[in-house]
Amino acid sequence: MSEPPQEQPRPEAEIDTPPRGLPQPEPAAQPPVPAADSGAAPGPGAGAAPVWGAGPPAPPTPQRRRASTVHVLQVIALVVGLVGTGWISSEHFRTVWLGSERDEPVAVDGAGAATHEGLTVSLVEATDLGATPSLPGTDWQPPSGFHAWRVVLDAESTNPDLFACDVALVDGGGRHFVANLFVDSFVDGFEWTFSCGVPEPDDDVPAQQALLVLVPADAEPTAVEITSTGFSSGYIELEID
Amino acid sequence: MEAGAITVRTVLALLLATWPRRLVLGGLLLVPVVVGALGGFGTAEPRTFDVAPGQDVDLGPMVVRPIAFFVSDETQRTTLEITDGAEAWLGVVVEVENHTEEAITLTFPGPASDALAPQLPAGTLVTGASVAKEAYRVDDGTMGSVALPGVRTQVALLWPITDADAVPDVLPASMTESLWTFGPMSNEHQWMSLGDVWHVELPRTELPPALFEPEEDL
Amino acid sequence: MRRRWMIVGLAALAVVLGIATNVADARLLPYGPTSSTGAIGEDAGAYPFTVHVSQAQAAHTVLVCCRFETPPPTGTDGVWVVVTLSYATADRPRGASGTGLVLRSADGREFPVSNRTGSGGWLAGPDIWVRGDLAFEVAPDALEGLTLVFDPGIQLYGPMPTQYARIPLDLDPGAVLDVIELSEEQILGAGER
Repeated sequence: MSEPPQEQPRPEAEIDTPPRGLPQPEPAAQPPVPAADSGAAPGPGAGAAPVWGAGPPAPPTPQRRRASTVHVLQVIALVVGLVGTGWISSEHFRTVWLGSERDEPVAVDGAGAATHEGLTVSLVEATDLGATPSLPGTDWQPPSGFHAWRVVLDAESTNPDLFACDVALVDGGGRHFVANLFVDSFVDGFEWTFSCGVPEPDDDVPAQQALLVLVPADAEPTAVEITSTGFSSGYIELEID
Repeated sequence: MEAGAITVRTVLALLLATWPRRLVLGGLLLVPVVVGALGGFGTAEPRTFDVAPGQDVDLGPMVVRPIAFFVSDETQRTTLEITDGAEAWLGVVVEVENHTEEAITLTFPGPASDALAPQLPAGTLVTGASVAKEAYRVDDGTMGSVALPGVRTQVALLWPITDADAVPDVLPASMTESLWTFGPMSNEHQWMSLGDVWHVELPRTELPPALFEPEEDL
Repeated sequence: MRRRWMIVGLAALAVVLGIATNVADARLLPYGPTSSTGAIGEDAGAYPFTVHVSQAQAAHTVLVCCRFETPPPTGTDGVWVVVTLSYATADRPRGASGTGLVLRSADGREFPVSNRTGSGGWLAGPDIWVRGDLAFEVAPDALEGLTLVFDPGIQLYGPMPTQYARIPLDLDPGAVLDVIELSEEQILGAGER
């Protein structure tokens, strides 16, 4: 199925075409040029040497204009080829890398709230609960060398495409510690997921949602990042005071 | 015409300029004649063979030993229920040994897609694809959809069928050799089922005990 | 005459360049010079993952873990190889996908994580190490000289070779246990592997 199309050599079509495409000689418009002039120019002089011809070298005929047209076409072909190669080989850079690099957090207003695609979030608190937090309703404790953090967010949404968003504590090294991963899902007073959709009438999601995050003891989170696959682009970043 | 332009005439002149060149060119033109005179490259038509059940058939990527077939609705009941139009499973018990360096999935298009295709009246198989929908190990009834390199294993290939009574007492099946070919366009090797074909007449057997699934009490 | 040879030379160069590119593309990537070779008991880099194999054992059967009702030991037509390993990431939570996790034998055969035990890799976080067991089924004659290949297969910087880890397992073909009980995945404390 991936066999290449049969390429029959067609010398008539392949080789005859370029001369046909070139402008026809216009002897009347070409004033005769002295042979000495042509020989003095180092560049075009070399180009006039016969390549494939078997006969003796043709006398330098006055075809300066056509020769320059050929050169212009060659340069155009070279440029088109280089641009095409560059365009194809930079496809990943253009489509994926540039797109992801342009992903920037949305602006935060004076009250500390950020609105993005119908979702308004503000950070109520981000607290280090320490290595041995008292977590009601569970025996779970962070493994040694880790702290539990509580992140409380105030969210209001008018975006019907959103249901649950991902919340992460980000530290200076770019490490993302995602909430509700690597922790017990059922701790009293904490939500098991961050609801960021339009609330249904029978939802019992509190206005302020508390989330549990596992963070290495040595990490110093500087921001809370809220992302969602429901966002067409961008994300929300709220700085921790 | 510009001096030094490459035309058919100049190329021909170059190729035919000296006697050694003329001889080489003439020799190249004679290659098809010589190959033809020696009998050609072989026929393009795949050969077909008959094979008895229980015999090893080397299909290229793997050796398959077709053993027997069964018809049953007492295995993989849930999958059978959610498959539209399915009344029972057609199961073919085969022994498979993968001779490549990578695992081969027996239930998805690829090297195994034409490894064994049951020949049934049109419309009996629920899906049009020749490849089995499920594969389970005869030994213990666990997943058997992957043939590992150098590991010989006996599995039951399962196809959902619309009519259990449409299956004859002896099931004809065809097995197609796969060729490891290089696709210059995709720039990779891939298996293509275009080789020889073996025909086998499989005897009917019972559902392997390990595959039996009791009816759930609801 | 000189210009004619120049054209012939350039044409030949273009063909050679094309063939060389194709060969490099097909053969060298991703298994090129980007592998890091580790050992049992050492951390090995496969950015953005760091991998640590703590143990590898062979057995005739395995006991699947973490089911409500423990099923009977699962057999195989080959040999089970159970690799106990932990890994963490450098940036964000990621799962090691089953396709990049294979055991490669000395003669080049590749055995993926078995789909018959339920575990095919798990999620780990930035400097959050998670340990678990991966069960592979291999051909009996492949036990000696097996290497775990841990290939994240993530193209962080576009289509270019990515780092992957190779960890030789040094299994003794004579030491095949009767049964291995697969253990549950576990989040490890700081410094544990």
